Amino acid sequence: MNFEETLSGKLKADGLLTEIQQQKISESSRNKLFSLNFELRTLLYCGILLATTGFGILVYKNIDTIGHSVVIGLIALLCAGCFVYCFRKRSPYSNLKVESPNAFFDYILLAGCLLFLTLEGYLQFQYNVFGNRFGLATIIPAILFFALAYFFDHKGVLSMAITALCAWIGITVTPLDLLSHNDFSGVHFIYSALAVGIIFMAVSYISNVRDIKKHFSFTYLNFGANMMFIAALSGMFTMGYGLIYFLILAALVYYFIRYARKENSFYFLLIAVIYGYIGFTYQLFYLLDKSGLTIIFTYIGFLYFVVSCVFIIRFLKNHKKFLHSDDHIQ
Amino acid sequence: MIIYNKDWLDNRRVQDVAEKWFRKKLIIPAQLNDIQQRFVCGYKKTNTFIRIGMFLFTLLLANSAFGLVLLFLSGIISEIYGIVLLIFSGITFFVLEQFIKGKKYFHNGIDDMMLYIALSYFIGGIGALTYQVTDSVNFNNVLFDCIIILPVLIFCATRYADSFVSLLSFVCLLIIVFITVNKTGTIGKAVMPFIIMGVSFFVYWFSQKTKKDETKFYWRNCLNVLETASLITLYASVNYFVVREASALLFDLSLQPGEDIPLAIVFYVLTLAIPVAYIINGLKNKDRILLRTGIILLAVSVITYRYYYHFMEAEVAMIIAGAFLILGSWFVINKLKVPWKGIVDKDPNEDASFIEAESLLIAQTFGQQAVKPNDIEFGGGQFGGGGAGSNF
Repeated sequence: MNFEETLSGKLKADGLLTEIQQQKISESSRNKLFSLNFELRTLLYCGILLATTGFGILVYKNIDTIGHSVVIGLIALLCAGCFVYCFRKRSPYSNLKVESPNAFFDYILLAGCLLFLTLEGYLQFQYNVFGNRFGLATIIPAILFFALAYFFDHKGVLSMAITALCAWIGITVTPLDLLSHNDFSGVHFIYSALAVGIIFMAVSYISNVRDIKKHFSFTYLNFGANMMFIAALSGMFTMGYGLIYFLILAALVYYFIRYARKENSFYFLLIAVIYGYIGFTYQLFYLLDKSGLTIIFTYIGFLYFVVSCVFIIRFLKNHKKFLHSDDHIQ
Repeated sequence: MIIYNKDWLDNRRVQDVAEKWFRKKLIIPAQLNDIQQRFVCGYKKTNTFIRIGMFLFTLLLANSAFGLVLLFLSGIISEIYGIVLLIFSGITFFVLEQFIKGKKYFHNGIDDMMLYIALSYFIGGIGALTYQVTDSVNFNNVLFDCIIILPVLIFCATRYADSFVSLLSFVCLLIIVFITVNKTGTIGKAVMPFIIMGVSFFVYWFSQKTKKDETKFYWRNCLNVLETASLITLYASVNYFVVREASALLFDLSLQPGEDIPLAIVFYVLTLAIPVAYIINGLKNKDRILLRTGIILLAVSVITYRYYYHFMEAEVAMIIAGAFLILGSWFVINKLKVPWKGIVDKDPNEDASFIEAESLLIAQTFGQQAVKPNDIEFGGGQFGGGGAGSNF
């Protein structure tokens, strides 16, 4: 007798389960299925990773004997093969979440995207097709991946698209920095990260409200939130106008705690608290340092950590009260 | 023995099982509600993110609190810091006990971290004291420390049902065995792999046996961790690479070219045989821990062989291994669309198809009797035609 059988027997005696239910429960607990889903998927993924890496090294080592055009042709063929397979097997587009047609679909789409990047890198390395127009080289995969992510409903490809877009923006703003300050300290990076973060938040909001691929909204919001928090923090650490970035950070913390409250999102509550704590602590110690209280500086520092941690632990501990208290406003 | 209220833990288990039944659509919402009303648990579940946050801030809090105390005492205590650490440890344990008993904390991040902090202060304190007394670091000191620490670790692992502390206890036990056997001289060193193997096997057997005992279910996570760890050390103790390198490193066994360690063939065979045995037994007994450990260790074995025999170029080996994995898993995934001896390839999280497969299995044992739960109660038949078509 296993635990479920014993328990269901006891519950039946208490009148909480019916005879048939008890029978079904015992039967199902005795005939437990053993699913190898996770293990097989992991092995498949490792296999793809191993084989593609090995393939890459092999091509790299034998480049003199095979010839570039053959290699490029082969990669292009494989890449096209992946996309054609996905196109043929695809489920029709919908604004809702679309289930993959079979177990391998997602992996093949991912392999196709990775091969596309390899192909592009190869063309650039060998034939310098993009020259110094790196912006063009990053915006092409960004556009392609966004299209594929929506067309085939693939969150992983969406993340790749967002990364490519960020790379494009990073490359595009670099010359501005060079022109205006003649250094790489990155004020434009911070501006553009803040701007892109706001755009991602807007996209996330729209996809939620308009119900266009609602399950993508978390990916956008996650990217946007982290980018903006990091931009605000690095602005505080490196730029002259620490207070302005501190205010931006405070606004972000306020917004995301409100958001967490509204959506019952523990994740955003946690990151808002952690980023906010780092920023606040930095600002406080910065001011303390300026004020010249060096003798009692260590004491105040330790005392601050004790008091602030007690406060934050209490805040987190009471999160349930806090998160649910706003339900009626929603 | 355990600090937590056993009745509450029992009730919580009933609640969890009932929720599982509900997800499998074996009971209706009203019944789930009734069961949850009947079996009350005073411990709250803590969301993982909240737990991480409280974990981190408790670490910061405890260390800065003790840092502050140390700062005030800095002139006085430089000679007795071992004792100060032990006092800190005692205070943390005391507060932890109060929190769990009085405030009903239950693995919410704060109590986890406090336990680890108390133990680290304790271990640090013991280490500092032995160092102060003997003024040297050697095997004897470590052995002495471990012998003192081990009972405390086992006691804490049992009392707070903490899996990480269970792992620490196991490591501590292995260190004690290793140093003791090492002291016996040549014979001890020669049989070291088999003694470690024996200890690992004993721990594995112990956790398997204890896990079957329903009254010990409070420690299930601890036992799972012990099981995994002992399976890994059992393998590592006779892995060819480990034995060879450990002999060279620890016992000054210097091998000339062409020479091999004693009993090399035994270690070569065991390096391959143990993971294979794990996988086969894992599938046979439907034991996920055995199976997963076996798969990972098999990869380790392949790397071990390749380390000593370069029978082909790395990239060729990678392509062959990759192709083998892709084709193999592709083949098995296709085969397991239909359950084979209770083994299946379905995502248990995507409830519908997994439940469907399970109810199919029950249907076979129940004969022709319908097992489809009453659709109306669940608002719309999820078991209708749609899902069944492609998979079966």
